[in-house]
Amino acid sequence: MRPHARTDVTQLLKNADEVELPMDPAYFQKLHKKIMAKIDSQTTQAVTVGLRIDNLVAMKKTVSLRR
Amino acid sequence: MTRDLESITDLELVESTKAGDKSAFSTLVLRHQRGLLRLGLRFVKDLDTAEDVVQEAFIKAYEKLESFEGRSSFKSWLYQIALNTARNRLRETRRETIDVEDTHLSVKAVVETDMVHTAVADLLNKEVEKLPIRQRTALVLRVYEDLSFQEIAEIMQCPYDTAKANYRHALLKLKEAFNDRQDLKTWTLETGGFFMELNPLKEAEG
Repeated sequence: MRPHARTDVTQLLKNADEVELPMDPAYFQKLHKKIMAKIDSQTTQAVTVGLRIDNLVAMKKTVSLRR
Repeated sequence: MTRDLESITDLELVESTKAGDKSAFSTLVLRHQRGLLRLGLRFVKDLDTAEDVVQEAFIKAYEKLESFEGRSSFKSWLYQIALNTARNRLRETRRETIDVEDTHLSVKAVVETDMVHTAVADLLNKEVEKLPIRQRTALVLRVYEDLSFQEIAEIMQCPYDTAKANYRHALLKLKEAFNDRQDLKTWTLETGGFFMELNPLKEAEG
């Protein structure tokens, strides 16, 4: 029994690996920018929704009711 | 004194993000986007879709960050979100009945020059694709991502032993696939016979 059967199996799977990541660092810079832009727009959207006039009226009503 | 970015842990960055520092999350994205894209590609195969998976996973992570309590590592938590996203994409793709197998075979034919090696690689890839999703996940995380069974269990949200069993069953199925192919069997014997001697029980111990 060979001592490194495990290495061979994982090696074979790795050899058969088809996944190739883009090599260009600019690709990842662009991806990072895209992700952060989406997160920014989501946050802005959430803030805008929160400040919509009907929400503000509802908030005011809640505050008045509490008083 | 300012600390080197690399010395700041994921958990510290998570805490800073929770406190309102968006640049901390930006660092987390920089740190994990590559790994997440690789993981996505293993399931959805196509770069554009994998990119969508990565974006969606980070957005979900950002939105749910308050619920992250640090019981597992941030990486495990993030991978868990990405895997669920990738699985959802896979379901959608299957519904659209797109056959990606042809593309993937032609790519291999160009890349590989050794015919036997191509046959082994193709068979392996096909068999990996055929595995039930949990076995495939355990195999991918163990073999390609070099994760421990503890981390795999966290990502798959299952007990440690279940993660191990999923990995073991995946290996057993690959072994069976090779046993069914006499031509490849000869080749594997000639080159060391790894699948003939493989003891999946031992394998899962690692």
